[in-house]
Amino acid sequence: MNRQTILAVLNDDDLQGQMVASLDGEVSITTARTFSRAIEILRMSQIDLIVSDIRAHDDESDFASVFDFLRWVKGDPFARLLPFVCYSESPAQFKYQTDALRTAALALGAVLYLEMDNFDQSLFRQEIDRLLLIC
Amino acid sequence: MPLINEPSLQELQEARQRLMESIQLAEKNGATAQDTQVVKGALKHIDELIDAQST
Repeated sequence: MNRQTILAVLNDDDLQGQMVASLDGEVSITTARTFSRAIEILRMSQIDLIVSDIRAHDDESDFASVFDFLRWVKGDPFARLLPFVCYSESPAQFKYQTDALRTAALALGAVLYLEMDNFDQSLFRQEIDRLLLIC
Repeated sequence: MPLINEPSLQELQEARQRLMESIQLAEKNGATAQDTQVVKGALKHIDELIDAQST
């Protein structure tokens, strides 16, 4: 069986490194720093699952927030069936936003809103493995 | 732009309510426009879906 491939959209280099390390070996992970680059990758590559940092931004395109990108994915005939995970590592002052953002992300088509105080490699791997099983 | 599993109007209105409460709380606590940018980004799309279902 071919290795499954995850597309991760992240602005944060540290987080990117931790995600790659947590999934290393079992799945292939492709990263994009911008939503426009992520769309290019989706057009060119076989992707099985998308993970995007909830606070990722793209100053070079019309995609101002992760929700613009999520709506694009769910409206694209080739990408719309891909499971979309929103990842959030919120500072304490943004905790009150979590419930609202989770509700909105799921209503807009995300399959999972994964919130962590700090990146937990084991939990992240567990959640991604679970989703890839049903892809 | 249709979604795979269209959320119900009730789900959308609930999401809208929570987003609005979050923005109001943020502004009450002196949050900057950048702090609420993600929430407002979600609200824009929730409102579009509510409009689409209401017309």
